[in-house]
Amino acid sequence: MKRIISLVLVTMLFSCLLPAAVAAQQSIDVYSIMPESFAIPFFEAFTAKTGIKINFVRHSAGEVLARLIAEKNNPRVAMVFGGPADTFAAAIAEDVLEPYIPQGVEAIPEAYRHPEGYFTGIALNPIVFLTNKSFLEENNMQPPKSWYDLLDPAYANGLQMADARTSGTGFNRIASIIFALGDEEEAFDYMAKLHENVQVYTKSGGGGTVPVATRQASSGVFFLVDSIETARRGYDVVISFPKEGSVVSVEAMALVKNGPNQELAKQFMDWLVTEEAQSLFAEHHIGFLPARPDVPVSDLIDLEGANFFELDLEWAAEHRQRVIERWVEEIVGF
Amino acid sequence: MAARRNTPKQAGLLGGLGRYSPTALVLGGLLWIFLAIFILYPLYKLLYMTFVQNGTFTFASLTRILSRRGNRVALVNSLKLGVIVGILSTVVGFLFAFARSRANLAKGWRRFIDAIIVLPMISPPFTLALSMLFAFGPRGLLTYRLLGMTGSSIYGMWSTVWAQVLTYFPLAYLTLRGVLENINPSLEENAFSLGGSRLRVFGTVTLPLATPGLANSFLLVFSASLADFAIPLVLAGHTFPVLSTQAYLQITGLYDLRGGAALSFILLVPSLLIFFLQRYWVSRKYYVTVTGKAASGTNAPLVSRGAKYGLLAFCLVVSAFILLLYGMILFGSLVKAWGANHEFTLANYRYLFTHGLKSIKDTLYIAFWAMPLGGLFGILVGYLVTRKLVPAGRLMESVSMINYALPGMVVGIAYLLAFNDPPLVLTGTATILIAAYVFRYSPTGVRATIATLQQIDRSIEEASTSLGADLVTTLRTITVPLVLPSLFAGLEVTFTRAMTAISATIFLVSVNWTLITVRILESATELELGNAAAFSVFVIVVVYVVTLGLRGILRLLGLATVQEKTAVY
Repeated sequence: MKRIISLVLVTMLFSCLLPAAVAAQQSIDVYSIMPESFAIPFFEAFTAKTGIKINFVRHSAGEVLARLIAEKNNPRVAMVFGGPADTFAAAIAEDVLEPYIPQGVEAIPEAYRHPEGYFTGIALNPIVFLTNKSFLEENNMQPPKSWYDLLDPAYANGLQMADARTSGTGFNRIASIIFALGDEEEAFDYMAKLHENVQVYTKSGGGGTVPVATRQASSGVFFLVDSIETARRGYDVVISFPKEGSVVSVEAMALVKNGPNQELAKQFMDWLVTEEAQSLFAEHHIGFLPARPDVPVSDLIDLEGANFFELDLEWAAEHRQRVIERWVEEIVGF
Repeated sequence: MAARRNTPKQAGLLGGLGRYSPTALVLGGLLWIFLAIFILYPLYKLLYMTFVQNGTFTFASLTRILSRRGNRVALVNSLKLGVIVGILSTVVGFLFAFARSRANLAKGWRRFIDAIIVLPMISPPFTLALSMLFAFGPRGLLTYRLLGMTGSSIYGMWSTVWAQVLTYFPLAYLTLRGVLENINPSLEENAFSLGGSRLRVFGTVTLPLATPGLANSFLLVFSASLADFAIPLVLAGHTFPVLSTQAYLQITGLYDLRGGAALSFILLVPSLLIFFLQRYWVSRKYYVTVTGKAASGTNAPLVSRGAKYGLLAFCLVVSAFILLLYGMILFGSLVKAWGANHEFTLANYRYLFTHGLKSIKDTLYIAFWAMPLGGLFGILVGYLVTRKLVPAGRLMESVSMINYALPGMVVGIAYLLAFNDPPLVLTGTATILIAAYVFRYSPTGVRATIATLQQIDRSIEEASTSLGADLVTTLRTITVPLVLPSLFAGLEVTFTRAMTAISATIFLVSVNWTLITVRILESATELELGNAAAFSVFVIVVVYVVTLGLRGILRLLGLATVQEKTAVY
């Protein structure tokens, strides 16, 4: 009995140590920051065209970066698909990316890609307002058209937006306000007033869309892609744009340093800048704007009244940390 | 064990080890190997990354993190939250356990309590928070439609407290039920016949006997609350920062892995501190109640009629609350757009069994491996430690608690750092997921085993040993039946967590192995709330079936066995 028990015990404990089978050939392993339902059309179209399979895991931007850093000595994936440019800027600093300039990249404006090819923009994602329609009707209001419209007392305890310490959304909102109002001091005065109407700063970028969609909150500042998705799911919301302007974040891709099957990943990256691939955003009604200006936008997106500007990446790299800390100290209070 | 007592002053290492049974030593050695690989080694890698920069040791990341007021506020908040949730959960859990074991409730009520108590343990990520939002938000079902409150805020300390109490009181219940059931009712009966009032008997007999259990339950819940980040992430808002969410934002939002890890180590300090305090305190107050002497099985009339119905009413209110929240998830899985378009549809379930099928298979495979391993591990550690069968047992117990006390995300990153490079490459396998669950959630089994064993007189085992049985036989015929409820508690928790926990494994899922919880998070990110709800309902059903199955088995052999064994001797 003693022997049998120990044997069973040892077998059980050790059998879980056996590594699983290795994946098949001709495939690319990818970390996708782009949500799965948006990413899959691209992966499937590429596999249909080339026969190369794409295995992927989806994570938020910060999680992907943490994984890349932890896996630095033995990278598990060849490339990162999607994710805001500031994530890639941080990744360059951690030395986990390898430059690659895709063929035909000239079709994408220079402002949307890294000069040495550390990352290449595939789509644009502006900051917009998302408001609950029945809230507007009840209060007899028009959708907000200016940053200052959000200071209306009707929005008291009704606004949700991302914490500045979240990846992407929060910082892009603050940068929008700073550049739209033209001056950092004025922007911080404005944000202090805006704070009076804020119900909560969410800890994920799109975290406020569901409360807005379901009338638990009245309005908020989000990325276009999350807002379009909310509308597409049948929620009663309206998207509008600040006339003073807002930032467009660049959604990019990058090659992972020393990753497996890099040659195949490069093929995929070449294909992603083609007109064929870029058209998939509109075909699948994905709320990103294609990075190629010569490709049409989804007909769900109505850009009337939009005033977007690109985020100065050098400014962002230099001031990101300081601006976020200032926001935490002055606006949230600690 | 008799030998151990006869030779207390043997000198030398070998002589010292000679006091222990070889089987126990081999077993203990094996457990240490696993603890070293899956807890200490990842911890070392994480410490190295946090505190060693460019080859030199530095506290730079720690001081940088602590210089921020927000993080100091968060530390205080975390402790406050942990203590409040620990106390409240223990109280609620004790009332449930007490009602279950002492109030002479009809069988139907007892079954009902057992069935309800499983639900909060399942708590799939994100969907429960959504339920809460729809119930308590500014336009929530309860707050706005029923109570007509406007402008109620769901975000802050108290909603976080109640959400955590609701989620963690079953941990307290599981720990305490076993303890209460093992208290020999004849003790209370004797106190009665000596003329004690009900309150006096409760205060001087029942409560002191349950003290180790209460302390254990507080410890479990306190650590769980400190490490939990899912609930504060959604409900704490920006007015009530806690350390686990600060660590999360530091890593995922500010891209500062070192700072996040440093924050997590700050979290580890109070967890370990309270653990040692509790050890010190409980070790001076433990009581043996399962003595091997015959116990009369009659029910002590400890609870008056009024108290009985009071307890029952309390349990029912809490249960109704739980049912409401979970009913809303079921509702959400059957409508087109949860919270807006409530047209009936089965599309979410179609999605579940087509696109979701791989994650379902993977999750079940992993959970069914993690369950027996976690349960076994918990009970072995608990047994060897309580019965002092191996040297440095306390150290073993403390080490086994580490992954439980650390925030899941940090454990995930530690595993990634430890098992991505040789000598042990496990990333991308099911093994790393199973190991993460086993070593993170077996402490429940360890604590439950310790709490139960502390009540059982060692003389029962010693009688077996002196009658010539070896350690394994004693374990199999005496101890295992006595600690079966604890083993099953361990099995239950490991399985449930393997089906529902997300924080540790978010970094460990791979292109080969994915999990339902990750799909739930993904669905929620894509605003596929219906899919998220359908996945959650599926998880709830599976956990339910398995848990009730386990309890059925326990009823068939476990409890009966405890009564029999004690009666026989």
